[in-house]
Amino acid sequence: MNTPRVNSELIGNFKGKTVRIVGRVLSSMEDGTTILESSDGGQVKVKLTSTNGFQQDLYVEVIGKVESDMSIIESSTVEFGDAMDIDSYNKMVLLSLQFPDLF
Amino acid sequence: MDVGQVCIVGRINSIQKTSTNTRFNVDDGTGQVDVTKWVEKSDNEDDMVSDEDAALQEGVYIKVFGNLRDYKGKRSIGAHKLILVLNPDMITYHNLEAIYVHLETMKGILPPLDLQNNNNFNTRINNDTRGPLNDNMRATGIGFSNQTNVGSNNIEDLITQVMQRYSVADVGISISDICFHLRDVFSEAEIRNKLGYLMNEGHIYETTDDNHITLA
Repeated sequence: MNTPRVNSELIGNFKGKTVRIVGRVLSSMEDGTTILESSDGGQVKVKLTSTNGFQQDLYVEVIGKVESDMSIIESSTVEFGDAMDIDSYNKMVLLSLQFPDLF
Repeated sequence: MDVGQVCIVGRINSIQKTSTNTRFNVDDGTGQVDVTKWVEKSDNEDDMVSDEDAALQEGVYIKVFGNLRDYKGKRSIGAHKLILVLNPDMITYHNLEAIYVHLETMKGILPPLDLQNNNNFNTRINNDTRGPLNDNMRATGIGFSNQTNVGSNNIEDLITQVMQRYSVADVGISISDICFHLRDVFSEAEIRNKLGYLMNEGHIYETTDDNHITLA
């Protein structure tokens, strides 16, 4: 199964599908509701299931299913630490769209 | 084109260990593939191996170098090196590299920048110069450019570059592959002519048959 890399703008094209999205944690509540700033700067609501929450400003990659309201039900997450070149990542995501044979 | 060595970057889904190998299921976003790393036996590396193994856990990103295998239609990778990905920019870099290699394979190697610069240089001379000296000056211009750009734009260097990049141990590279990679820059006749020269001079030699060569 493939899990396309998306940002907040692309997420609407993948309703009902499992995607991976990279972003910075803006807030994370105890009930698992987490707001990510996606690589394109837009905000995405994530409902965590594998963990209770994340520290603020942490970069994470979430794999999860896109709901009809464009939020994500998380199934697993990798923590990327507090520094990454998020603009280059976003450009890579956009460039990947032009190569459906590869990604 | 047959794919031999591959490199992927993905998350470890699951790990299965036996006494002789460790099998990782790795997901890079395009799908999953099994990666087998055989246990290497040597005298004193017990501690080192367990240290490396400890870092490779489910959920972390790894970079895998290995040989692509195809058994009854199911692809897997026989790994010779696994690296824990500590910097997420490696994922960005790897995916961009995959696009670059794909384009290079589909469209051929990019003409080197120096070649383009030379063209600009010649064009400029042609445009700026009037009168009977034009041809002489253009000839001088080309000669001058070639001499100052030694090692970057000539056919020998490009052939060497392609051979270094795509050669496989023992077999080398096929002449048709070289022509394929340079198809936007030189004709097959030009390349074969130059290969004949390089062979006579002892810089390259034939390997498995007369269509496969390698650098001396």
